Amino acid sequence: MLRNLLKEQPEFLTPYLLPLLVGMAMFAFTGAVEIVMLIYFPGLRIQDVLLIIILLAGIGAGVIAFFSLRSLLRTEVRLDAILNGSPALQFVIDTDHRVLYWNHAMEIQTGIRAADVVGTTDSWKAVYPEKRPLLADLLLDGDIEKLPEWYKGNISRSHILEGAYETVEYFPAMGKDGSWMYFTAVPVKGRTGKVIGAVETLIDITDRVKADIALHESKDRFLVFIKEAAMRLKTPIEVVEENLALVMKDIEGNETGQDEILLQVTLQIRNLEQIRKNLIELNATITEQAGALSEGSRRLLME
Amino acid sequence: MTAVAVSLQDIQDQEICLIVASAGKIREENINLIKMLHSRDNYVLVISLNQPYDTLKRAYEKNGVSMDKVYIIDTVTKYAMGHDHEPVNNCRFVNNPGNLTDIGIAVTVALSSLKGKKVSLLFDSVNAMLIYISSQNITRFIHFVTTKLRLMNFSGIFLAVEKGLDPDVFSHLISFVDRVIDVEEEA
Repeated sequence: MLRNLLKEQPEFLTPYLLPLLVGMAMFAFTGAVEIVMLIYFPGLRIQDVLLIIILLAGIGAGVIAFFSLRSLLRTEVRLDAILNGSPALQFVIDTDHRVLYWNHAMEIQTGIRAADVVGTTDSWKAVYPEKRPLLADLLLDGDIEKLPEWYKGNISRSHILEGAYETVEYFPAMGKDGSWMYFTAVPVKGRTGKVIGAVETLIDITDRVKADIALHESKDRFLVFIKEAAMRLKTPIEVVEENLALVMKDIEGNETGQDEILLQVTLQIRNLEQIRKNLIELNATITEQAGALSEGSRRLLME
Repeated sequence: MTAVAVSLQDIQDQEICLIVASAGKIREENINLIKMLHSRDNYVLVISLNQPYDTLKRAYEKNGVSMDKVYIIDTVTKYAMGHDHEPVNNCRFVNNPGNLTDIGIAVTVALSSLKGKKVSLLFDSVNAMLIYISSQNITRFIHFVTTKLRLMNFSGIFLAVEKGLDPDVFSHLISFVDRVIDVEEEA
């Protein structure tokens, strides 16, 4: 109930109200113990009563402190485990833009140890060569209108989490051949709705982007290939058809010598041989891409 | 530009044209063009990738084209026969239509020997060349020939069937020429 009551209080009261309430409770407890002791043990000196009260209060405070500390440590350990166990790169900043958490994935990817960055405003060093605000910094300050400027228009509101934004950026100097990073950040709000920090998550999507690019390139290459195939098969066959039609016309006209007819027909046979070679050459390109083929398929395509 | 047939006004001196015709009209256009160029007193250098010299000669003579002002680079006779043709004054036989180096040398030699004359080159045809060479190499070769023609102030005509060409290749070819003339099929 008290907890619920405290939750309802304005946040600025909490740090002052809690010790006051604890002090009042201890005062009441001391008075109660003193009265009980004087009633049941009238022979005791007032100093002894005070000593017992201090002892009991000390034990009580110790027990409370032990459980509070244990609870705090457990929360801390759990939070550490969640953040450090995440395969996504994550860090948290406070309202002064100082790093509160810097997870293990961040350490591995950026090479910057948590110990070196926690407490500083150097989170930009993770991805940029020069100091600039990160998505979390901009959201923390509520600079939504500056987002397109910093991210060249490539920024959007998250469909999942309210107040979160996301973007994808390419970093040529990161990794072996550059890296594509997906960023998302969201301001962290306290119980009263006041922003108390921001968390940013980075995911290396280089493999996925490369796969997409490869797929597009593969589609483009395939289109180029089938167009070339049409030009080197369909068009030549049309040329041969047309030439044979002319030969037929020459035969019908009966004005062309046998040698010339023979030469023209031979030429068309050579052309057809060449078209077959073109087909095999084009098939070779396909089989290279297709990988392993059965002997029968290989013979059909290549011979 | 679209026409039923290429007219004399369509072809300008020192201009390089791409004439697009249907497959059935290519041979007809070949003869029509030579007649027109001769009427302008032009010497015509024919690069033939489709018709042997003997067939062309017969067709030209049958249609009243004088062979005195025709020089043919025949890329198919030797290829089809498998042996040399008997030597002819106004023709150079190339071994293989797929051998761009030999064709290039033959064109260079022929154009150099015709320096000082009014010369037109007639390339018959881009589509026939596709039997032997990839579109990429054809584009390069035509660029080489058009550059040579421009350097020597000669005109040139390239025959092609548009339907048989990839639009990307076609637009490459267009970029090398001054004018494209589309010859429509007569109804």
